[in-house]
Amino acid sequence: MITSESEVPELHPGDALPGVIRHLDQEKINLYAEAVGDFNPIHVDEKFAARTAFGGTVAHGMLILAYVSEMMTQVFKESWFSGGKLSVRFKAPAHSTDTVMVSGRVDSVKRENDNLNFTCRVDCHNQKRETVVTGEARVTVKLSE
Amino acid sequence: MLVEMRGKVDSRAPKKYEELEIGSEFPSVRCELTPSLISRFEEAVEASSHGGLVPPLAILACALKAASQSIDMPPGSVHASQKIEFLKAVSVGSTIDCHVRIIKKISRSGLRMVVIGLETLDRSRELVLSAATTVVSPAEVGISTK
Repeated sequence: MITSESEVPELHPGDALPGVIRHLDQEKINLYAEAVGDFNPIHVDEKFAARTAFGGTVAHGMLILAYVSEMMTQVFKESWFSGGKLSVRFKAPAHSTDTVMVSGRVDSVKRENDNLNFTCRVDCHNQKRETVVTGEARVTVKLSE
Repeated sequence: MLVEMRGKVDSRAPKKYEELEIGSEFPSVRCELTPSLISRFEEAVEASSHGGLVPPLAILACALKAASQSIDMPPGSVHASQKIEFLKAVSVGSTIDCHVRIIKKISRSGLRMVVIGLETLDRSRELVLSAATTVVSPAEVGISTK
């Protein structure tokens, strides 16, 4: 993806990325399970999940990461599709009644030849401010001449 | 369902943790990213469509589905960590091949984790996505399934 400089997001270290907020419910989790074919009972079987340490169904980790990816896509457009990297840890489950808030902050911006390399911290919290996902995203934006 | 498996699918049952060997690779799985499948994915993750491109997490979902064909992930398994690199944008309607291998196994003090390497290639054999997924099986996260 070659991007003209006028299209490169004007971001500087310390800048916040526009957050994404999603309200989970069992219907959304079931919809995701059907879309990707992942019917692990921890996600879709309330009776099974109630007997686990989680005490109830939890969202697929990849559903939460899709929200992170949506935030990165909104900022970096197609550069995220062909020059994005994500490294995260799942710290706590996102329950079926949770609200998930995805946030990001620019750590560094470095120019290297015709590339602009962004490093961002990314986090997901629930409505109790507990960390659900934490990690780092990197994006290389290829600049046109 | 996002992934309709075709091609070289191992007919044997998915391997259990004890049977997995570090470095072992599984038969590749071909996935067709049809418009209707991607549309369902975008609806499920509440994402806007991206000019005919497949959302990167949809490609990862394909790769994970491919992994589940080869690796037995007990009910209650959850993700512990995820690394992903998106290398090439893919258009809706494309076909990709998903490759799965075992990177690491950890079984210690009741912990049982598997690190799974995932790669997807497009029809021109160019790498689209590379990922490492760490999955923890139920006992390791204190789940009682009684």
